[in-house]
Amino acid sequence: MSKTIFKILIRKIFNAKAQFLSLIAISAVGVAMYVGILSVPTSMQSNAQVYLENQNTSDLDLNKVTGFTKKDLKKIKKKHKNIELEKSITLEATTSYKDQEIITRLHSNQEINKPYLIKGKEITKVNDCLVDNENEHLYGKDIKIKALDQTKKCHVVGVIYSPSYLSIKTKGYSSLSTGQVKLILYTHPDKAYSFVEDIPFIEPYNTLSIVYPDKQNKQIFSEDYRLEINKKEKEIKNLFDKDEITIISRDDNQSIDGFYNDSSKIREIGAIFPVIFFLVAAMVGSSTMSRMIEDERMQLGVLSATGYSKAAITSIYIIYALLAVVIGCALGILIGFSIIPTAVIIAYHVLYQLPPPIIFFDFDISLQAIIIAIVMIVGSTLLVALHQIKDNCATLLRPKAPLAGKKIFLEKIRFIWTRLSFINKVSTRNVFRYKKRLFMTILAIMGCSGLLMTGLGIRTSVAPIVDKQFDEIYQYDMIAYNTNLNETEVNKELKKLSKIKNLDSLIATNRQNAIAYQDKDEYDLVVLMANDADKLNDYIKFDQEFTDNDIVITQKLAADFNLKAGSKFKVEIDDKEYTFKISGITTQYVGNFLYINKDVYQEHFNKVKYNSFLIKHHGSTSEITKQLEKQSYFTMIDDDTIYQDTIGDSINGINQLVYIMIAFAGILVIIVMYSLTSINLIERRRELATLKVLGFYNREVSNYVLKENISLTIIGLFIGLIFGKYLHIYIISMVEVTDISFIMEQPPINYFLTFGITLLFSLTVNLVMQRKIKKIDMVDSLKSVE
Amino acid sequence: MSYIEIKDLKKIYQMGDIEIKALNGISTSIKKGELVIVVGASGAGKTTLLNLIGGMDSATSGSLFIDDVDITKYNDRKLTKYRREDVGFVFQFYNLIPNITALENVEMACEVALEPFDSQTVLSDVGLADRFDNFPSQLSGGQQQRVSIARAIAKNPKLLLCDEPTGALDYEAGKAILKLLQDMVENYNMTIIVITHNTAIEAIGDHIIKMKNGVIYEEYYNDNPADISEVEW
Repeated sequence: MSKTIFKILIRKIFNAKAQFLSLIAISAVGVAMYVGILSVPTSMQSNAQVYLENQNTSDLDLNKVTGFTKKDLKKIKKKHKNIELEKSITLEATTSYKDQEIITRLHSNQEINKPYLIKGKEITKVNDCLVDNENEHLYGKDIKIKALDQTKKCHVVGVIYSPSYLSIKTKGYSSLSTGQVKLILYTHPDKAYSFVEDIPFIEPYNTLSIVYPDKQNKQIFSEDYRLEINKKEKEIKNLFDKDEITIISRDDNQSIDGFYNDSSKIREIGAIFPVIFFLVAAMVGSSTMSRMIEDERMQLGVLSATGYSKAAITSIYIIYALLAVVIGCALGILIGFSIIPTAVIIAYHVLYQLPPPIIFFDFDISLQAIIIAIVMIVGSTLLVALHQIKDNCATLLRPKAPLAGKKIFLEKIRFIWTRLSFINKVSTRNVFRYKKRLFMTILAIMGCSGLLMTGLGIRTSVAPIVDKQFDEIYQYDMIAYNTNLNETEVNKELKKLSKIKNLDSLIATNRQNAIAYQDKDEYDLVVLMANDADKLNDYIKFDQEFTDNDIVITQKLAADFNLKAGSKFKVEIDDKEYTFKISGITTQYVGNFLYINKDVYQEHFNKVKYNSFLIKHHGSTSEITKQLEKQSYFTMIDDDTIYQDTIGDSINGINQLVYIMIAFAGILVIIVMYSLTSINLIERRRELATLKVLGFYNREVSNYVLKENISLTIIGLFIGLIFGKYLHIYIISMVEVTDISFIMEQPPINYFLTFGITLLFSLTVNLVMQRKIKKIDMVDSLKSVE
Repeated sequence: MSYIEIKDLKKIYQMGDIEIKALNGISTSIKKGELVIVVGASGAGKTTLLNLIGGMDSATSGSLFIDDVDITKYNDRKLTKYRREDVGFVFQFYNLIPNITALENVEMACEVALEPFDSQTVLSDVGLADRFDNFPSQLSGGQQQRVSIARAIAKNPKLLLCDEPTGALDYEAGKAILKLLQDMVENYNMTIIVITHNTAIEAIGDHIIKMKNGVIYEEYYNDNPADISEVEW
């Protein structure tokens, strides 16, 4: 590169700072979006991987009710020579603190499946214990643990996440008690041992955790890992009687599976966003550069006349743009990898318990982003530069004729046109005159409002489901499950249970799990039989009252299977196929149901039996549970509020994501509007200075330019609202699961909020521009045309 | 009584350590209805003087009375109001808004004026009756300057300021423009200040101010100003 060209380049960077910065910003945002969203799955999985490795999480967990004997251990070690193995005790227990009783699962692991300490200290003394983070209120307290008819004291010294429960909300059901495990407790091995040492006929250690240190595939989320461990699992299974032990691999761990699916989904959902951002980035880049090159036609001409080659002259602009893009990419990669996956992981923290996220850098994705950014921005610069420089130098030395004014269609409607003020006339003409700017502004505003609309929509699609389902549709408070009862038995139970204090009413039902097939999807549903159709309406709200002869299905099934009243619906129960003639459809959001009354049920199944009760009560849930258990034997008592809490928490996570989306939408609009308006101001400096000389007030001069922005913003907004509506539907349908019916309709408030927030962003830019306009010097109007 | 009264007006630009005295103490007075010609080489300070009289720039010291009010004391908004209601401006490079027609360029100025003339009449008066709907890019330089003059006059200003109005025009077109300005003084009874470096034009003025290095070095009145057709350069 010649010295002159180099000097021109360096000066240009310092003189055209604003353009340089806007190129950096727009490429940074595009790249950040791209690498950020695309790296979410790997980042989430890597975070989980590191966490699980650090906690030395087992590849296989073996449980044997009667405990493992020395012979068992020998068998395993003989089969798999190089293994890390820890024997420990797992107990179903009850923890009491003050008058509170908490269903507990006790572990005594130390080496494998180490708990991750988030507060307090590790176990050092026999009486020390650790609780999971959902039970932080027990921290520092003395608790009593009851298991195997013994009660022992412990002191809570720390709060932990357990790697065995990646999704800690689903701690599973206790085999001991009726209900869900609410507390995961880690004790000193000696403490756990003290519970079991005196129990006859069983070995103390009922759990074996195995790690294969020399396994080929260390990536838990990989298919190879799964296959390798499954093979080991089979080999171990063959060593024992089939019913003797249960083996849990990471494959059986639902929370890991769920984590994998959730993390993979983000990429599918998010892919559209980097596309929008890169498109806008390319347009802003090309218009900034073409403005610059047009401004410097004279210089191009002089250089060309002096004998510099076209390649040398073009290289000034290419290197200028390339430098900005490279800096932008570096920033974007930094921001993208650090902010977006982290935010998503934090949002997912409510579902999956992981330590604070670590940032993972992904080389391939970065390289892709850099290439796209360079191709789009530097590429468009090259096109503009080549287009300009192909004129010969004599042409270049003459100023380019300004775009001629043109009549527009509206002028033909004389009575409107003549009534427009001069400012409106100019604005209207300009809107149609600079088509590129029109298109870009509209696209940016559309992108912004589309993003907002989608973000807000995701919130309103998910958030109200819980309340609607559990407060409005489910009128009962509790489900109690028992084993099959016949008509006489159930009547006896009903009589007995209805006497329980604080229990308002109950009805007997039968719940059967069924499967329906649609293409490749399996839909799980519950066939719910009531013994009194009339009464069922008091426990579950139907769109139309449920009557004796009805067979009603929930809307999600109806929609996905394309069923109407009168349609036939095939389901499979215990490998047998049944066909039901549907009589109605009812609105529900969570779960799939087929409601049927006793007599119709009998026609299909011959025999009527009952396995559950729907209960309405007031007062404390635990008190009622206790009373129910006293009166009768139940396999499980389900309290609705658990689901409500879980889903409620994940909604907080979604809100965070929505805020990130709003932030990015805002950045997009601000960069685009700022760049375009700046270019506009540079182009029309003289015109604006003239207006000032002619005695237009600052406000009027600002209006003159910004009216265009506002009207384009509004056009973009309306298109954006429609775009956002469909983008939202698209994204929701991507995350759709077979048993939740999301609300697709967006409430009016979303439209208003989108409108308001976008307008706010746009007005903010306009306000900044207003100050720039104020600073325009009137003396500029006297200068000659450059 | 004079319409414009200028007393010891100074405009000093500070460029780092160097002071540039663009106007170094100017005093003069201009009567209503005069055609004033300000002559000087470039750098003499004539444009600075015009900027100050036109309310486009603020003075460093001294006073500038228009109708007995000192506009050097005006704030930004009052200056804008002054330009809007009292001043018409004709630029060397016309400065028409490219995206509106000739007529609309004139109407634009009328929109903000207090008692504007009819824009079609004024545009006809400057000889562009058949060019109403043309955009600036469709007009010659002389025609554009006529639109610019029509735009300034249609506001019905008390004061018409012209910065090298013939500077970008050829001889014939320049003469025609000056003729037009001379006629306008008669027809509309305005005070007109024309800035030029062309000393030949002095002959047509009522009041001639000659400037050099930021001061007035000569000032005189023509009792019988020449008609532009008699002037050659």
